[in-house]
Amino acid sequence: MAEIAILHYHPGSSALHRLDPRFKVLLMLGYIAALFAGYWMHYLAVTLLLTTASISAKLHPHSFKRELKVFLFLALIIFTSHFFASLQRGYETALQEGLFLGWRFMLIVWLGILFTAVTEPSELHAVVYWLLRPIPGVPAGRLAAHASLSLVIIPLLLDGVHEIREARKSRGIDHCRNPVKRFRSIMNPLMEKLLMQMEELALALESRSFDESVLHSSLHFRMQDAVYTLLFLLPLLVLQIVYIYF
Amino acid sequence: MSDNLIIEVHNLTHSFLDGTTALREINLTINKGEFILCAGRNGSGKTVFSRHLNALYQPSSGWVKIDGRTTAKDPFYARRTVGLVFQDADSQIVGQTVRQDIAFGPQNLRLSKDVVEKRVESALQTLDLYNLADHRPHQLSGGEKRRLAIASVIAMEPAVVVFDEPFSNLDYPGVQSVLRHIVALHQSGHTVLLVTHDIEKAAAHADRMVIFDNGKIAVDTTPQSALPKVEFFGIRPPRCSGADVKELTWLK
Repeated sequence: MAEIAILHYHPGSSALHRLDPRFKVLLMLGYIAALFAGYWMHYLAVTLLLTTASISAKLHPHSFKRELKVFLFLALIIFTSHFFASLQRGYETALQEGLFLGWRFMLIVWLGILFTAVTEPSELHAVVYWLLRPIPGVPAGRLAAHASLSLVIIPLLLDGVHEIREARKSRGIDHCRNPVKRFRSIMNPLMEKLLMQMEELALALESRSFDESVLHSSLHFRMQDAVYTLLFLLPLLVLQIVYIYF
Repeated sequence: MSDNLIIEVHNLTHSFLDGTTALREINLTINKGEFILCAGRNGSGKTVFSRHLNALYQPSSGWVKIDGRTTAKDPFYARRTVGLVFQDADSQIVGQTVRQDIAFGPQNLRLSKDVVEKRVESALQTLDLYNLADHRPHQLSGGEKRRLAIASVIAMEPAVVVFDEPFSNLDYPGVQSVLRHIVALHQSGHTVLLVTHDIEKAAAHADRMVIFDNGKIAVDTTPQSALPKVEFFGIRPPRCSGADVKELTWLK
């Protein structure tokens, strides 16, 4: 266990760690909107802002480099498939669009890594509950619990993949080059292992009197959080205005 | 019901959906402050029995009473009174830091923030986890994880603590550390039920030994009297089983 450093909460006391989770969600949505609505300047701005945020949260990319390889491989697939699909619109256009799509994918992955690294699942629980509670008929407590528990499950899932791969390597059966076959050979034992772990986790939660409506973090609005969020969104807003009017 | 009685099990039978019967008409009473060693070979029903005490499983027939209240009618009370430390500490961890994981149970009990903090501090001190309070639980060693699992349970202040195979996958210092805390819990007044097939490590500290065999209680007596019979039930006898059972302690 604990070999995988990605998509875990990394305890810390940085401004980003202490930021009200509602603003963290707002920042994340703002950045995703900019990536889908904007052009290359937005991508560059998001890259710079994420670099600043990661440095301020004391997250170093070298601690994730092994896991990032998987996402880089996926980005390469996205680039290649889009490049060949768009070739009829010209070589340059296909290359540019492929690069942007791959870049956008990596930025979204980076956002996810940063968000999970600085947000405790209990904070996510509180913010989802806060968002959904006013909507009548929506089981806010249950959905919030699902959202926060999914963050608990992700490391278990990644650790499981790592363990299965190591076990396969140790038995000399990891030579298959076909990615579909490799995926299938890992998925079967992984799902079996995960289902058993989930059953144990459910029992463990029950034995500790788990109550989905209990909030394990409280939300407090602070003006400095609003200012911090604005500082990190302002460059994107300015760019958007420039993009629309000029 | 006697004032001293904390757990009463009457004709408890548990069958799974596939038709397997894990427990057959178990009858058992446990007094406050007892230290009971539950032993038996794999598949004898020990773990299923321990989960009934915490109301995680409900009887197919019969009943389990915790402090006079049946687990079927009041599972919440059973979970407050009986804490269960799982065999796989990893599956019990839900917090992102040691401190948060310990706080999880008391928060679910809807205790005030001050009370939760006090309980967390106390559990951290008791289980020697203070220096690891802000560490990620998944990065701890096997022994530390087991201590965290115990801390998370005692922070809920249960009167009874059930340990399911607490020594599995631990090295010698790890076993000693966990055993020391279990004995300390018993000495502080908790009722302890230790489920294991590895009786050598804890027999010296138990008041009573219950041996499960094929879903039934085959032996219920003192560890001293039970030791000569254990091999018959698929349990490895301690190396010096002829000696006084108190001499078997791993805490010398």
